[in-house]
Formats: sequence, C-alpha cells, structure tokens
Amino acid sequence: MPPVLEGNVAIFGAGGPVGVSAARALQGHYTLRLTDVRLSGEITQPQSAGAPLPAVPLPPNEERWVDVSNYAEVLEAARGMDALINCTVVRPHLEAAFLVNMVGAYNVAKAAVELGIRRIIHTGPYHLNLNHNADYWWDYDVPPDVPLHPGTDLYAASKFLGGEITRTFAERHGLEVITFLYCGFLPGDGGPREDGSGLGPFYTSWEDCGEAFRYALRAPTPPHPYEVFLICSDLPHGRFSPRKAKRLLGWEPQHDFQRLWKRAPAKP
Amino acid sequence: MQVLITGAETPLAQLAAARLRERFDLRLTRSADGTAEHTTAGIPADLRVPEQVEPLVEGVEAILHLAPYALQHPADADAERDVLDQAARGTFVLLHAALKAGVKRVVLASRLDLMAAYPEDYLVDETWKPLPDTSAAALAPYLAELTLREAVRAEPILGVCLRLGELGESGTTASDAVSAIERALVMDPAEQKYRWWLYHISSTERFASAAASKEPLCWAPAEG
Amino acid sequence: MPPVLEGKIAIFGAAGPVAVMAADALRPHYTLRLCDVQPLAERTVEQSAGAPLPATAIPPHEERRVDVTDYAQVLEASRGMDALVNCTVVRPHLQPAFLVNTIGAYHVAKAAVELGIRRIIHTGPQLVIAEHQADYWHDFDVHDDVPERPGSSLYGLSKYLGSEVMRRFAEVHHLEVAAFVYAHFRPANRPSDADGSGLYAFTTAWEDTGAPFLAALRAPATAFEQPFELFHIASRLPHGKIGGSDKAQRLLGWAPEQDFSRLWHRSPIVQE
Repeated sequence: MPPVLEGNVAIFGAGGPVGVSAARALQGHYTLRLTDVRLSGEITQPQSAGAPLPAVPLPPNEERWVDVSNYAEVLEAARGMDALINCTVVRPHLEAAFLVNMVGAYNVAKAAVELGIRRIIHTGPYHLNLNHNADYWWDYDVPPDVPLHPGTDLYAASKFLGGEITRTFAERHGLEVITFLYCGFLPGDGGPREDGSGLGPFYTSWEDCGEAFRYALRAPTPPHPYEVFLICSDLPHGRFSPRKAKRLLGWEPQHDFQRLWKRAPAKP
Repeated sequence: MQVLITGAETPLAQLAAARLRERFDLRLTRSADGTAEHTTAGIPADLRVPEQVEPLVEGVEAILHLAPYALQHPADADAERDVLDQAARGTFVLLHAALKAGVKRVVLASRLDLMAAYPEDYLVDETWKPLPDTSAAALAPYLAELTLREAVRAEPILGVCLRLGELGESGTTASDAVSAIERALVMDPAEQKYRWWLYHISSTERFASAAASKEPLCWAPAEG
Repeated sequence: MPPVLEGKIAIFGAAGPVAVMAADALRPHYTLRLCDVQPLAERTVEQSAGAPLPATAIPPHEERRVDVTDYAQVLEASRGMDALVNCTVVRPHLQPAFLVNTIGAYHVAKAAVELGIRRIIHTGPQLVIAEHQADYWHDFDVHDDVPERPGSSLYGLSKYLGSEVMRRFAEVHHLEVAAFVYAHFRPANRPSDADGSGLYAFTTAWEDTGAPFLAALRAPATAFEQPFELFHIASRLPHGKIGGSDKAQRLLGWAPEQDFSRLWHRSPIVQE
C-alpha cells in the first residue's frame, strides 16, 4: 500500500500530550479528526511540566467526543479516514486500563479492518524497570523489537495486551501498524530542569514526538505488518537508540538534552 | 553472619577486613599463585578450582568478592590469559559453589574505570553502558560483573556490584569504599525483586551518583 | 573497509562441524588456513548424527595445529590473513571452557587488531533459550539483537563472555564482527527422520550453515550498522519464535534454503 501522503487522519486520545504533539505536527498536512473522552476546552492542566495542551481545532480539522472502549463510536470516528492514530491510555485505574489500553486497541484495529484502512500508528510505553528479573533494566543496546515483559504492572500489562491484539490484526489482515514506544518526555530545551541535573536513558522531546507521526504516515510499507520503534533522543547511555526509526521511517530526533547530561560549567 | 572475603592479599580486602571483623565473622582467602606475601592472612585458594572453593563457602552467608577489583598488570600473553581466567572462571566457580552452599548474597568489587571512556563532562551513572578498554586488565572486572549479573537473573542469590575508583582522594577513599561494602552486606531489598544491584561508589564529583544514597543501599560518602 | 572478496582466511576450530561447513563454502573462493588443536584427520567421530567431518587440507589450503588458548599461536596463524573465523568451542569442561570460549575469543580479537585484520566471523551458541525465567523461551518473534540471557551455565556464560569481549574489541578498534549463533543442527533431509516427527524451534540444517560465512565475508561495510552484529542462523522455521527478523537477509544478503517441512507437517494417514 502506498504511504499516506495526504488525506484524513483520526487521532484517538487526541487530548493527551502525545496526541497533541501528533496533531501539531500533522495539521496543515492532513485533515484531522481529533477524538477523546474530553474535548479540548476541558483539558487545562498539563500532564507534566512542559507537556503540551490541546488547542481547539480549526476547520477543516474537527473535534469529536469518542470513547475508545465503545466500538460503534470508534467505527464512526474512523469512517472516511485514510489512517488511524491511537494515543489512548489509562494508567492507574484497573477497569479503565483494560477497557482503554486493551479493548480500545482492539476496537481501533477492528474498525480499520472493517473500513479498509491499512495504516495505523499505535502508541505505548516502554517501561524502564518493572521490578523483575526478566525486564531489561540492566541491559544495554536494547532493540525496539525486544519482547515486552510487563510482569504484573497494570499499565504495562494492559498496554502489552493492546499491542499484541494490534499485532494479531496486523498480521492476519495485512495492516501496516507502526508502533511507537516512549518512556519519559521533556520539552526540547529540557524545560525547568537545571543544567547538569542528569538524565535517564530514555527521553523524548515533545517536539520530536510529534514529528515522528508525520514520518510514519509517509514512510513506505514497513518490512513486517507490525513494526515497533523507540521514539527517543539519541542519548549517550548506550541503552536505547532511535536508529531503526531513522532507517525505516527517515525520522531522527532533533533534541538531545545535552545540557542535562553534561556537567554544568563551574560557576565563576 | 559468616562472610567470606576473596583477594585477602589486596589492600581493599585488608581495609575491609579490618573494619568488618568487629561486626562479622570473617573468613579470608588469598590468591594461591604465590604472589601474596606468605604472611598475608587468608586461606590460599585458586578460585578457579571447585575443590578449593567449596570448603571456603561452607557455612558462609555472604561473599565479598573483592579479588576482581585489584588492578592487574599482566606482563605477557600468558599472564593476560590468567588475568581473564581468574576473573571469569574464578567468579563462575565461586558463584556455583555459593549456590550449592546456600550463600545468600555476593558483593562484588568492580572498577569505575569501566566508565572512564565517557568524556569527563558527561553525567555518567549506573544506567550508562560500561565501556571497558580491551586490555585484559580492563576486561577482567567487566567479565566478573557480567558473570555475576547474568547468573543472578537466573538463580536465587543476590548480587550487589560496587564500582569503586582507585583507592584514594581522587577516586574512592578507603573509608568510603569500606562503608559501602558494609552497607552492601546488610542492605535489605525488601519488596524489590531484582537480584542484581549496581552502584557507583565515588568520593569525587565525576561519578557521584544518587542511586547509592537511596534504598536499599543508603550509602553516602563521608563528609569532607 | 571493503568486503573480503578474495584472499586468505584462517578458521580456528576447523575440526568442528560448523567450521567444516564454513570451509566447504569458502574453499572455492579463498585460500584457507585450517587451524585446530587436533589434526583434522583425527576427528573421525561425528559430533552428532549427520554432522559433517573435516576433510584434510589440499594445497593451496593448509592445515595448522593451533591452540587458541595460546596467543602466540593465534597471532602467527592470523598473520597474512584477510579475515578470521572463530569456530572454537568447549562445552562441558570447566577450565578449557573459559580458556577456549572466553580467552580464545580475546586472543582472536587481539590478533586481528595487532595485524590490522578488520573482519571477523565469530560463532557461538544461541543465548536466548536458557531454561530460566529471564530467557525468551516463551516469547515469539525473538529478534537477533535481543539482550542475551546465558544464565549460569558453564557453556552459555563462558561463550557469552567471549562474545562480549569480541563486541568490545569491535567497538573500540572499529572491527567488523559478524557473530553467528545456533542452537540445534540436523541434516536437511535425513531418511531416518520420520515425517511429522516434529522440529525444535531453533534448528539449523547443516546445509544452511556454510553459506552465511561466505555472505559475511562478502558483505559491504554497510552491513555492519554496528561494529558487532549478531545473527541467529536458523533454517526457515514455522514456529514464529526464531528467525523471523530477516536481519541476515537485510544485512548479509543471506536467507536459509531449508525448511524441514516434512517434519512439521502432519504425516499422511496411511490406509491399511
């Protein structure tokens, strides 16, 4: 299938900061249908310091209230779209986590198949440590394709299941699913953090986060129906790298947060 | 608690033994290769040989494996081979004997040299990838670390790795090194399921790390 | 560095079956120095049923007794070579396992650096299925680049350390190291294997074992996106567990030919 160079794109979970970043990067290039269980005017507190907030979309973009755990709503929101982006997430609440992270993923993939939409961008977390010996906390050069071992963490496990469901749909129905995994986010200039305050091994700037979606829509058909990418800065820790995204999507991060992981110059 | 200390002939082990003998029941073992002074305390043993190691770990609850910390200076290829073999096979044999004897934890002394290839202005901590040089001396502590790390993923034994600088003010002071070792012997991971714990123990800014000050190690360098 | 399209190749561990297949694939294109601690003619017992046995070297190829645990011998055997292949292995014996699997790798890498040889093919066992809770046995689509999990076994750990030493030499000294790892070998079509008798999830046909070595020598420098690239060398397997990444195809231009299909298809019901 040819890449999605123009057309209509639905973003599920558009009220969250990843969805907002995606919308900012895609508007003007695509006509967006921004969906969430809260409309833009209702979201006034950033998820974290420096995290972007949604803006009211201007025509031809539109906003729609959609509960991703409701298939009928997802199907109608996906109708007429050329690609779907799933940024929905619930972290701490048991029932909602499974309904959104798992059933929501199922609904998005199923709607894509029903409507003949091939390209989906799915999103999820990469958990740095999960407090068990089969995680990757003590590994280096961890590839994006590493099997996720969510253990018993609610967020990790429910998102893992959503990913596996999406993979199954992709493989069975010949979809082109590009999955982005993230860990920590910061504004590209490091936000309020002080020079030399240190930085963990997996961070993404909000600005880089959004741009990756544009590349994912425009990329040629990936080698496998379900491809996972670490959308992260190229940090010196030797643990996580964005090079697969560069190779297959042509995307590379612009921010590297150097002022945080380099020693601050001594004050005179 | 009975504690086995390897590398008894090394300065680090001697410092540790002096500090810990009040609190723990110590058993020392020194290299059997003839390099140790004959007056050095400790049972001579080649850690690569199971028959020599098994008696050392009987009744022991924890092992301070300090031998890999000592910086070697192999003069030729044969010596390089021995250095690598001691580090890898020595740690392997020790670990297997420990498992068989029901030892609960191994505290390994490794070297901050593994991180020295990063530019000095990088804020390197334990989450950064080790970059050892390819000399046998540089690889030796790295091999000991890897052996312990991978084994404790699979086996029910705790592995605590302390990367120390050169002993002294410009690396890790003796006092800081020994206090960290003492903490590593008694730290309680409580609800944490990891069996591998890695800490940078530095008395200088370069590798200063917040991780060691937190649970479960709760260590801080001495003031001043 | 350009690919090694011709020239001289030293194969360490040449008496073993993986090296035999490598030599068969390379012999028409390179001059081989077949090195092992034992004379090739003394290897007369198959390592496993159907495993290949070495042939003695016919000029211009040569055979040389080399103990990979002795650096001087490794250095001299590497002198004049254009690439090195390390197929040495000891499995069950404690001291030789570390000397050969760990330190032998160190010697080969060190000799390469000393002599300016950039390309090495290193071999070893897969370390993703290791019978412990942190391995990947229960996973699928296990990529070649996943962190290895040797556990506490002698063979696994000693080989893992050798691989890490190789990796570090590659990174520091800008080598081009292709590491091939394997699990279980068998002939592609052994008559005694009954139809429908099943297939282990990480199996390599002997017939698929040699060609990757040729591909790795001939691959352009761009094949080494990292100085050390590890490949799961497996035949075409249906399980979806190992071998699906296509990494070897993408970087080396090699894909397996064998698929053992009669073993994993239900055997036809024989009408009495």
